[in-house]
Amino acid sequence: MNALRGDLGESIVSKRPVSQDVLTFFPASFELVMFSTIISVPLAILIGALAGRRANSIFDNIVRVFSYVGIAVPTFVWAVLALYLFGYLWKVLPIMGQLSVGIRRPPVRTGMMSIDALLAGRWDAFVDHLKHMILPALCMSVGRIAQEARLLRAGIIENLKKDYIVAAISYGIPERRVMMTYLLKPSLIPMVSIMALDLASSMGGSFIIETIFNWPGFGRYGMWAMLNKDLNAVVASVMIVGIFFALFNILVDVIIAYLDPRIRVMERAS
Amino acid sequence: MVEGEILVVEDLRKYFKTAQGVVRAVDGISFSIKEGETFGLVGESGSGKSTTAFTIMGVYEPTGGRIFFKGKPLIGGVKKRPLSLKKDMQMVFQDPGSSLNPRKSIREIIELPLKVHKLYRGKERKRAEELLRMVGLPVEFLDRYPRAIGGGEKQLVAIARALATEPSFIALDEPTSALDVSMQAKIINTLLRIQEELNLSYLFITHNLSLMRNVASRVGIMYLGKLLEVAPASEFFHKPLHPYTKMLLSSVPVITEEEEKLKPKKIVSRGEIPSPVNVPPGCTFHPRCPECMEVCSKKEPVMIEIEPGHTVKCHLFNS
Amino acid sequence: MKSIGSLLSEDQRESLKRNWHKFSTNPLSIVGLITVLTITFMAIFSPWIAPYPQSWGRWIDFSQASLPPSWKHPCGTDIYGRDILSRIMFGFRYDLLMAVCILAMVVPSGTFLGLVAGYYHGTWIDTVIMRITDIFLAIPSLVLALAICALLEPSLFNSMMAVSLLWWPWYSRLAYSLTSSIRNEYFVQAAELIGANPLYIMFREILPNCLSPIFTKMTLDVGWVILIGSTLSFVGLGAQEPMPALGNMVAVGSKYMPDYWWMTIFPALAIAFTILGFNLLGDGIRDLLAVEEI
Repeated sequence: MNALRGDLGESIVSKRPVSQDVLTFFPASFELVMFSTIISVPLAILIGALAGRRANSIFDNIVRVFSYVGIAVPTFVWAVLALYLFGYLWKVLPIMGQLSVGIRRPPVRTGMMSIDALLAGRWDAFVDHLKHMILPALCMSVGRIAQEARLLRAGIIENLKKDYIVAAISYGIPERRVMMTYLLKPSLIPMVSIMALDLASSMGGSFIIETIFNWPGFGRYGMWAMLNKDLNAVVASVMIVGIFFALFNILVDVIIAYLDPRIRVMERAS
Repeated sequence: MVEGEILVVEDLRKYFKTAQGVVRAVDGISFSIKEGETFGLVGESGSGKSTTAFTIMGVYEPTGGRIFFKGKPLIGGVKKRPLSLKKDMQMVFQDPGSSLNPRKSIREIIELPLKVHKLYRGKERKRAEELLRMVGLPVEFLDRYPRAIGGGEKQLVAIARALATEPSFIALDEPTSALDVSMQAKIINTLLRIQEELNLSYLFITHNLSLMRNVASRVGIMYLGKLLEVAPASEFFHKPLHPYTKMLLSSVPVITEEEEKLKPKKIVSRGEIPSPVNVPPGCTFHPRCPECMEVCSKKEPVMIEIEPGHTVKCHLFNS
Repeated sequence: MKSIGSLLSEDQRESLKRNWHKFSTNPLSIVGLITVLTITFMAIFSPWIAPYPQSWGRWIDFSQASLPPSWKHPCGTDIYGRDILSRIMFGFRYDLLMAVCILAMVVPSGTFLGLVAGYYHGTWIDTVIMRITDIFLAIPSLVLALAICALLEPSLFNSMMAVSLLWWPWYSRLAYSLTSSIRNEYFVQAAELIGANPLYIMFREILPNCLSPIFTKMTLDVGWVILIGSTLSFVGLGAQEPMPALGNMVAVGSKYMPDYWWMTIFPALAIAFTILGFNLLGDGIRDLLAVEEI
């Protein structure tokens, strides 16, 4: 099969090899998805841990409402709201593209503009680019933060009832230590196990988000290919997302093995 | 095959492949059950006694060996066996909670075998009532669901279901171990009464030795997938031969002086049953045996008949 | 005359009452139930209760175009002068219809395949079905739905087919894992020893015990299906103008942001409330059944 040799055919619309298009557009998407992961995971851990530790407090209830809303509202609704709020009412963040008008593009090396800007020593471009990433990345990750925080909260509440935690607290180990060393790690497992799924849906979400925020990435390319019935490009974009998803599944298994010693032991035994 | 034997098991083997290696759950056991008798199979948990019952019934396909039922060989698992055979052999399981479908009424549960075998057509209801009466349950139970009745009553329903097709052989896999003592007695008595009424043959599996004294006509002791001793029940308790049997008998709690006298000298039981993956070489019991000899760890003893009907597998008697 | 209550046995009425009590103690579940009931009511009766039923389709009245929310038009009007509230009611109709149709296709087929694969655990049947399931699950559903829709002619029907095609594996996986564990229960073995045939065992012994998790997943999934469906219609791959699908309305309205904000905000809120309502209801039912199982 040609696809296995890296030859994905020619795009019917752009008249260029699809593999070349993918290489051109993928880094920008990767950058955006990674950025959204970097902001969403710590936020989810923070929110989930606090809500779980103080279950049924006011903060916990606010988090609960937020998590329901965060999961229920589709990405594109967040995006449209963000365009409205930041584009017209409260113009503090840019809403379109990767760079403001008047800032020169740093030379392309990796395709990820933040890294390119740093490599070229272009501090102005780096900061401006980060600002451009904030809104799309946030819209992409609202659902993730909500879902991951909720799972972590549930995990902590469940583990708090376990005998070894009760024992640790009754030994007089400081609460902060119990939280960090005994409670957090096992409670993270359910959250981490859906992270690959979440990342995949971010990748899917990037098709919508990049189109709305006019982000010149792989998602916008795929969307554009789909709307133009560019078969080769459609197949390629679905394939790339599938591969990306598979790689992250493997990564997640590794992280879970780190978090759950039982799995490591079992694998060694077999 | 000897006249009057309903079930003959020859060199039966059942191995399981697991991540840790091959588990020899049943490893070459032979015994037979006569018509109308109760053969008790005793062993600690993990000894393979339940696997033996499941393999005979065909839930598992045997790895090796032969099973004869009423003189005819049983081939393969339950899916390959003819319907008429399933009518004749039935089983009662250990956990009454899981042996009745929670979504079905007692009536549906008891009538299922009648419908499958097309028995008592048009009179299923009457037969179901009759079966409940036979196990000593009120007829009103027919319209209840399993969750609404107690554990012992569930087990009686399971027995009624097993009896529905008028089988001649029933495998009882620890039918009372999940129940409290008063219920145990009721179930055992019911089973014995029905056995007499219908001339049934039982394979009775248990880890409870003292139960065997009242129930079984013959007893076999299993350890790590192998039969170590088979004897008529009375002889088994009066004159145990195998060190393992003695060890088990010495740990049975007794009430009367008379029984105390029967008990072998106290033998401290050592260790626990080893993992069936790493079966010790030679006689599988040798690491725990108080009379272990040099030969025991090297050569496996063979089963020999000491007295008619009393066989034992131990180097003490092999010479 | 016989009342509905008397059709149920004493036992069933009792457990119904108990469940309702348990359900009603969680205010979020009640909010979910009310939301879902309201939306369903509006969806079913939209042609009769919508204030401007003609707003359903190609209706143009430029004298009423682009009006902001008022007493006459609580959610304003769009650029053709159609009443947005009425269109939202019709939109509920399409979105719910879509969800119902998709689940009606996906739940039985997925469950059936999972049931068969789970019952024949470890055989080639299991391998074939579950490998195919894995392949479908290996690609994020939204991307796959987009791709399938894009290759077909964009329409409500095709978007439904696309979502169905990628949704059944979730049910086959759920049914598979349930069946794999239930088939080891003694009552299944008892039925096998009795000689009941495999179809009877699968459908009458095993399936009834899988239903409550499947039902729970179904209520939780209504929200997800509406989410994906509205995303498809948002990018123009689902229902087409003038059909008032909610995602579609958000997409069209967003062109006129921010001046005519009501054209976008109200349909967007309608989507959010629909999904939220089904999620809350689904969670309530899940908690209820989880307790019941024990």
